[in-house]
Amino acid sequence: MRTEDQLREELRDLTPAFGLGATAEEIVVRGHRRRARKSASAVAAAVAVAAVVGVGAVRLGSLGDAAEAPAPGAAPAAPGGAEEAGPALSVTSGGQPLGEVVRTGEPLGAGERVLYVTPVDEPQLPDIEFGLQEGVLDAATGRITPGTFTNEFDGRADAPGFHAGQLVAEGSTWRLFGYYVGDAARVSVTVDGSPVEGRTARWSEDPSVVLWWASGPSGGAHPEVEGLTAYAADGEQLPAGHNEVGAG
Amino acid sequence: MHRTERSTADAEFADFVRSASPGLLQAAWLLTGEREAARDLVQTALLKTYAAWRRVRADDAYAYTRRVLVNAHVDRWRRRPWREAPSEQLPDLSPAPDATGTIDSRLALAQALGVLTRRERAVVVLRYYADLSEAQVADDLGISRGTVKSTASKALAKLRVSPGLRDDERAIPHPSRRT
Repeated sequence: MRTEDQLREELRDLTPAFGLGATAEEIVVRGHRRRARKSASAVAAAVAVAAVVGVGAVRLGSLGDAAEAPAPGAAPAAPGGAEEAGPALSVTSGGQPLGEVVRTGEPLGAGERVLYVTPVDEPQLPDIEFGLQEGVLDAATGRITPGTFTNEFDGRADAPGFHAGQLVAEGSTWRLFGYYVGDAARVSVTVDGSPVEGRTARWSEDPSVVLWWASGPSGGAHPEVEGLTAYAADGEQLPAGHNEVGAG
Repeated sequence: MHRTERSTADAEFADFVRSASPGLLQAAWLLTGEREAARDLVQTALLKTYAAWRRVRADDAYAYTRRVLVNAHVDRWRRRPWREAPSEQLPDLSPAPDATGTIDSRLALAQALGVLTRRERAVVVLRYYADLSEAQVADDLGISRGTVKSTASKALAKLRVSPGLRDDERAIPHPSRRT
């Protein structure tokens, strides 16, 4: 009869036929980034928001022509270039931005739609250190009113692939946003059967994190969203990760 | 931390990652049975170890990382408490280096682990692969020693009747009283 020691041996013989999926050096680099994000998170409330005017953040983080092309249904970019100064940005409530606020150039409410990363510190989510906040910027005053917030809740916040995809359907329009970890040059999605090209910007604090967003007119109260896909600059399809989209 | 000291610590940590990864990956794969979940667990554990490296580098860094890995695994299964259907896919099992035919028995055991609940699987892996005592397993999983004992008993009973492990030659032992 097999002994416990034999069972131990047999379990140890069950060696996986795959590797870690990252080199030791990559783990070290990610460890550095994670530590830097924690430091940034700790001081975020005391740090003035680094404003990027107009579509400056989009341009700084743009990933090719597709990233700069207006999304179907999206309004033209806000007037003014990156050189144009404006009031310092401030957030009225909620988490303070980690890194630059991304101005999308799209109208939203009484202002402009913006996206920014904020810290997450929930004991139930030990591997989730940041999430993505949508807000409305009053360009005249620089005040940002936060709206919908989204974060990963399963696995690590910085695992390769999509995270925290969020749909907001309001009246006759829909908005989508989320982030991708990896070298995504393009993000596409299908809404109500029509292909939509997302816009993208790399997060100023970690360029491996690509924020994406899209918007358009809605054919109904519950737009059907599917096929969220990221592509590298050479057109290769990238790992999906959590490419489902939540509704809120 | 001074830059030179940090570089040295980073180099040490990179060496640790290279040497520890195969064992950690095997433990994670035995716990989860899934390639991507195993990779994710190990990378998560290594990143947490990196954050604590100054503290744990002089101790048993491998044991620390394995414990972080098990904790992360338990955290995830508690957040996703539903029972996942066993995969129909063949496990990502490397060929045995020595004998022809060994692959069949290893495959049978790998597939048999898939019929266990996550707690049963964790107890079997920690008890028989990581060779932890019942007290250590109880501590790692946050359950009582009695639960470890009863869970191990149920798990081994399931393995005993699993296809490919049923004949006398391949019988799984009854848990001993050793702790």
